[in-house]
Amino acid sequence: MGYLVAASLSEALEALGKGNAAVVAGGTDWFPAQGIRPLKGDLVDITRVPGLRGITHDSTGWRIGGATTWTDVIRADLPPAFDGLKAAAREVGSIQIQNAGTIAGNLCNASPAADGVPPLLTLGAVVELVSTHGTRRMPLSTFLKGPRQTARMPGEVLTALLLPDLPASAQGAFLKLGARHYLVISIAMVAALVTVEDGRIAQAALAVGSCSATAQRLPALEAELTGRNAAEILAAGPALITDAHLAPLSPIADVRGSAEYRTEAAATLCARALAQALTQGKPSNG
Amino acid sequence: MDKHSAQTITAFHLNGTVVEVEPAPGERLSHALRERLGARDVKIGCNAGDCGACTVLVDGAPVCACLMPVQQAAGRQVETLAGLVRTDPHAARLKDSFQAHQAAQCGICTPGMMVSAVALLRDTATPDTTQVQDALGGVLCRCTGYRKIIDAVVGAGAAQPQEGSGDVGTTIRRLDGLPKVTGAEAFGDDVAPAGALVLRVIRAPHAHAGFTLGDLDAWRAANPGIHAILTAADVPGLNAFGVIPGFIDQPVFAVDHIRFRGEAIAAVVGDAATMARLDLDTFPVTWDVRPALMEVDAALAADAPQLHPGRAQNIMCGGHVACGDADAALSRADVTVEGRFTTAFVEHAYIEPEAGFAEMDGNRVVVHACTQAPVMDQDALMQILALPRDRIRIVPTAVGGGFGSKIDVSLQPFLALAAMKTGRAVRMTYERTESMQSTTKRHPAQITMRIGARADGRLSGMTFDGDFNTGAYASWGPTVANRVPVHASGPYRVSDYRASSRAVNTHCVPAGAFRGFGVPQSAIAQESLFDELAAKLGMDALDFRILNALDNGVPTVCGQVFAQGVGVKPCLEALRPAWKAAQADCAAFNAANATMKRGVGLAAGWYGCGNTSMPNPSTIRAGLRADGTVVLHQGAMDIGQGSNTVIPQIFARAFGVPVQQIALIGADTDLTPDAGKTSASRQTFVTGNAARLAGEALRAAVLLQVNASPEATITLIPGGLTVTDGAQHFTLDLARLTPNPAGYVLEVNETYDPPTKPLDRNGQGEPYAQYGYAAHLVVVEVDTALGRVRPLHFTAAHDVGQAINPLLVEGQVQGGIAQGMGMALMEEYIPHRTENLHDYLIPTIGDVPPIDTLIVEVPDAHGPYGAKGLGEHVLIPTAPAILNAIKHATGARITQVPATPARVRAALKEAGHA
Repeated sequence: MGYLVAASLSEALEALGKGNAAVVAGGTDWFPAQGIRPLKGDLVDITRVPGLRGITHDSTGWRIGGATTWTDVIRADLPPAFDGLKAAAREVGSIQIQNAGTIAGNLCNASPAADGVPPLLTLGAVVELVSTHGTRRMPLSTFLKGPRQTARMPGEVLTALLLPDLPASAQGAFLKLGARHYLVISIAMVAALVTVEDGRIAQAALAVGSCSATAQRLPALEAELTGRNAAEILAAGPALITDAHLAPLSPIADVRGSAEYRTEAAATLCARALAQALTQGKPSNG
Repeated sequence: MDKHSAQTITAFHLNGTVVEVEPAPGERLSHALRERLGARDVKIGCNAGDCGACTVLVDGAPVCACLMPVQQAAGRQVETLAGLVRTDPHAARLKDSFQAHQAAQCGICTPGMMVSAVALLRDTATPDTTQVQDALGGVLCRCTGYRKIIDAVVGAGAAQPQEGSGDVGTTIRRLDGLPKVTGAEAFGDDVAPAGALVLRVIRAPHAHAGFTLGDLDAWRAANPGIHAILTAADVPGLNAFGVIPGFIDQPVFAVDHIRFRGEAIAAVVGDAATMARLDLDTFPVTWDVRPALMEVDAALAADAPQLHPGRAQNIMCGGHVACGDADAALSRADVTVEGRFTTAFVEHAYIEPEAGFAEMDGNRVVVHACTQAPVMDQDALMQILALPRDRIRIVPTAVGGGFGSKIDVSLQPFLALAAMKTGRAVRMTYERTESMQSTTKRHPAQITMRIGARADGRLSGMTFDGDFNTGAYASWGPTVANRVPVHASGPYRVSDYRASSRAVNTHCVPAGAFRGFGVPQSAIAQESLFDELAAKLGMDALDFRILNALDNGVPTVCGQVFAQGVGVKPCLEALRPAWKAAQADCAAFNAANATMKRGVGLAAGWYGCGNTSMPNPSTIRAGLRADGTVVLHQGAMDIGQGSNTVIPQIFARAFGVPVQQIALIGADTDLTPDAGKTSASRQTFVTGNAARLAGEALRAAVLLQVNASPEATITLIPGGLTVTDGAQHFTLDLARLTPNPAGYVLEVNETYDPPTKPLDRNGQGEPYAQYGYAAHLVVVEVDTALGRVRPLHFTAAHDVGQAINPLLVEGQVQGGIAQGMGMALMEEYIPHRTENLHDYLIPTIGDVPPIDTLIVEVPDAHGPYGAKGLGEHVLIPTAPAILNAIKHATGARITQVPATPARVRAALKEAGHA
């Protein structure tokens, strides 16, 4: 058993390729899952791998390093399209968690209630997975397979998220519903991203978390919104959202709420998140 | 792995000093800081990032040390509270401010709070409330209700409020407050000697099962480093514990059959390294899982299996109070209301899990652990260990919150047995999940209540039937069953009354004592129905309560008549300005908002201080040394509520010197006489009276030395004392007095036991010598689309008779309201499902709104200087006030707590909301 502080990606990948080793980064999910059980296998710490942390932009779009913390996201200078992601970052646990927890860890942990997933889905995130066998990329929606299940193969590291450039007017928003402030696992959450051109919605993306095995985009709703007058949509409010729009969701009942409640809350939050995005990020109580 | 050997040493800066450790793979920074580097100011509450107690700064950023691999600290600056208060100017100001505002109660969360606050103040010199909430949102506190913490951080840069003199009625800082803000306070996990063996308990993973132990010798042989395995066979005395004679029914170690998930079957003791490597899942035991009765209805079913012999239908015991003719009064009432209410298991959620160590001192066993009741711990161990009292010493550590659950023994029997078996010091700290699975909870209740009134608003008949899920073993279930019928009327005149309760055994975790002993549950039913009744009558809810409120000379439902001291009406009257203002504010807000609705609700409560019709004496010892030092032996456990300050304030008043001049000796069964348990809101009242008597006795003894009159003034001077009696002035020559073996030239021991009378079969009698009274008002905002309820403001009026230390009163009120809020809105312990602090939610610093505390002082003839108990009263009206406010806001009556968003939304739809 051992603990490797990987000095390079290749060193991390080599160690992970040897079998019984797990990646540890922020530790905010790893330690609670481990509890006090004795460690079996090795740990590969990727937090000191150069280039894995930080947000960069080039002609192909945005790149968020896997070891980027939520605090890094909050502090980054990003266009309004990322407002939803930033709002989600502020809702991850607490400042303590945001300072340590990483964006890749949030995705690899694959909780249905992962705060980062809905906004990243609306942003069209692609994950980059690297192993000693090479690099592969896939949409985030493909990467997430189910609760605690992802497409990550043993030996792979989620090195980055790749996000396409969006129009400068694209506006993101995110709302999380929990039974308390701070340190709360959501009952339901919604991210919205809209681009309004000449008063009309040129592009809309909505994603709902905690209401299905993995967070889901709502294509039917997005299609219906596209081309519509933004003021009309705002005026329509929650009545706009129909059962058909929410068809991708399959909420469960648990200690946080019933399935019926989750569906209803998702609709309410969709309308509010949409309104918030349409009103340039200002909160709305609908 | 090739490279790890080169990296086994991790070096970093700890509070400015370079340190080196050799961490194990997967070791938490919190563990290395505490166990390898002695930084025990870093507290561990959950090991999961849920509580933030372990917050440290790494390169200036707050992180949970329990979630950081040690190796990630390499080369970085790690700062903890103890270091920060020595060197950081923000921390120095917070140290002062936290004491001035009494922002630390038990003190277990204080390091996490202060460290987080330092990070904030480095960025933002003068933060506002919201900024403080955002910065401290990751640290849970269960005592304070957070508002004093916010005040302390916002006010860190300002001049601190002036202290009073310390006399009764004045605010001073906690006398034991300094260590809480420097990280020096030693809690249960902070005191074990280096090299102590570590104990872990094997617990049932099922709610109901038989079991067979496998080959323990072989397992032990396969795991060298284990020093002992303890099972039922190793208990020399009675393999049972409990708190009430006749109900000592919980095994230390189950023999072949467990009755709840988390029940202990064995303990393993070994050196720390062995225990860290040991996989307890390999412990040789075979389970025979059986059907479990998890709900009261299932346990009461005619064909239900019996948990314990002699408890037909699994009914452990019941309580009953009746006066007049309730049915006749209800039948002649002009209006009646009826309701069925349901509450959940509530977890105490103190941030300090049970912890301590035991060791042998010659042939005596000494247990150092967090507790609310050191002498009761001693009582329990006498039976279990089959030892006389003088061979057991209990040395309580600082207690990081208790709220009732730490009255019962938890790990004390395991530690004591292990110390006796191994001859070594043996330590243990419960994991958070273990604490939640195995220690007592608030009882879930199912209550049916019917109340009538005449057209003029006078009550006419009240019936109450409550079933309480008491779990697998008795604990304080009988007390809950007894207390509830006595209190279920609320503080009102009810001439025709019948209340019955039953405590029912199930295969759940034992339910026991939790702030209020069942009364918060019954108050939900009664106070909710009072609003319904007032509405039916067309009366104002406040006027209706005042009309029916108890008063001096008016009998309680037990037939007890207090000639004086009944303070509920003044509490209710104190709310009137806020009540009128809030109604107007809510109406204005609701006229302008469609989805968000505001409402105001109120509720009253009462609570009898001390044991119900049972003796519960407290004894206080004090002495004068030959050098003139006055020493107070104060054995009332301070679990954050402030008895280490209140009791000395009372004693100092009685003796007649400033409290700052009294030397204090804290609880230790070798040094302090029995001051009873910290429970039943009895310490200020009962131990306070013993302290008053002790102060008066020691004063009389001093004055007798010089034949001074009772009005004389005693002045402590270096090396002695003087007495001034009118124009006469005496200097007492203490050297001429012979010290006793304890070193006192004068010593007193005084006992107080509240005067009560037994209850007859209809619960008629005098259960308590005094009650305290309370009334709360809350404004809530309901998001009707989502069912989310947000309290916006509380006004809390409490009759405390005489506030000994008014800021401590505020602290109790605010902390109790936070717990009442949690019970009302979010807290629900479900065995197997909410056994951690992220699935089980308690309020955070973002949830508790501003609280105005209105201190009402209707002196009580029995109380020390008129004082009444307070600790439990403070959450009794909170939950029903919130439910009444939701009703006012939305028209929806919530009858099940917690009122989670999903439940509120369902009730809103039923009430016709879109």
